[in-house]
Amino acid sequence: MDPILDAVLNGTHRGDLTAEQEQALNDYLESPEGLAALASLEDDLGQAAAHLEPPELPESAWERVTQAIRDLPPVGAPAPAAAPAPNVVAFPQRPAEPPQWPKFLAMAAAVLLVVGVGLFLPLDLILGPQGSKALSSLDSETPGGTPPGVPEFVVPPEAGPGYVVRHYAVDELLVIHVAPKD
Amino acid sequence: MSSLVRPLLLLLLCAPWLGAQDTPARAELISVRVVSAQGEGEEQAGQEPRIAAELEDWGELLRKLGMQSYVFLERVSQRAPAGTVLKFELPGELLTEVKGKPEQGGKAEQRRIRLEVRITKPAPKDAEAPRVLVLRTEVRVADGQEIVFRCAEGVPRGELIVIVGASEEPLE
Repeated sequence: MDPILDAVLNGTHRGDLTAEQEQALNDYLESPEGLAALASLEDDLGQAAAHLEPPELPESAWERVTQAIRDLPPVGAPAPAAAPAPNVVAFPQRPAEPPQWPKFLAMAAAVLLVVGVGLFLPLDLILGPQGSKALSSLDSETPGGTPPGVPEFVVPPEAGPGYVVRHYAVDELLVIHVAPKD
Repeated sequence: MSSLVRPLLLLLLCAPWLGAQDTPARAELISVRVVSAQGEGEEQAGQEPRIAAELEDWGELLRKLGMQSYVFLERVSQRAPAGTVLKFELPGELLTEVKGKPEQGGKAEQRRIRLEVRITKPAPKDAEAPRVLVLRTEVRVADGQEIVFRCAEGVPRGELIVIVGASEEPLE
């Protein structure tokens, strides 16, 4: 092995060299022979490193790692002012939704259709003749009025001052009774 | 704007056809029937109820009114478009007139009909004015349903009974 390189690998420090020796070392490392020797040494070191155990970290290194973890801000706390701005990830832009007015127009048309059909649909088809009659009688039903099914007065009977008019129902029959005043 | 042109044109084209259609109110014919009878509620002992043959259809109705015997007076009907005033003159000892005006465009289930019953009792003497009873009312009645007027004014025995009914179906 080259004596200079041997000296370096065996623990010779630069501070141990004289100015002339250091200059000679630099010249050698820059020379083709020195570069080739360094390349060969690098290969040898690579092969040797594959067979080495992982190095054990010194105790001071573990202390620095523990201290760095303690210095981290708590989860959820506001980032320090000097912290760098978080990266902004742009979501892919969603395609524009179609306008909603056709849906509302269809709903309005459906409502109008149901109301229109409901107004003009004969109730006999749904309730039958009796049910239709009973339902229509609800429009004219008044508390204390004539019983269901009995004709109802639109204009009460009037026969003048000389007569007494009373009316009553017999089943579904409306009877108007007129009698002279005594 | 152009989308309105087509419906408007369609409406204009259909307008004459729509106008030519008879509306229910226009084509609606109403029959009004008046039946008059003289009835009594008292029955002689051992006597069967007497029912005039012409009043058999109203026998059940008259029984409900408590009548036991009936004398048929008149049965008459007229048919005319709704809204027409129908006038009936009933013979008998009393001059009885009935006017009926069925509502125009009314529903068959609840048709309004304006009624006027005028009963004129002849004066006992020529010098005295006849006694006139005028009963006016308006009722909402179902198609074919009947109304009964009872009046004892001027009837020698029992009561005068006037039965009025209106229907879209022809009434005899």
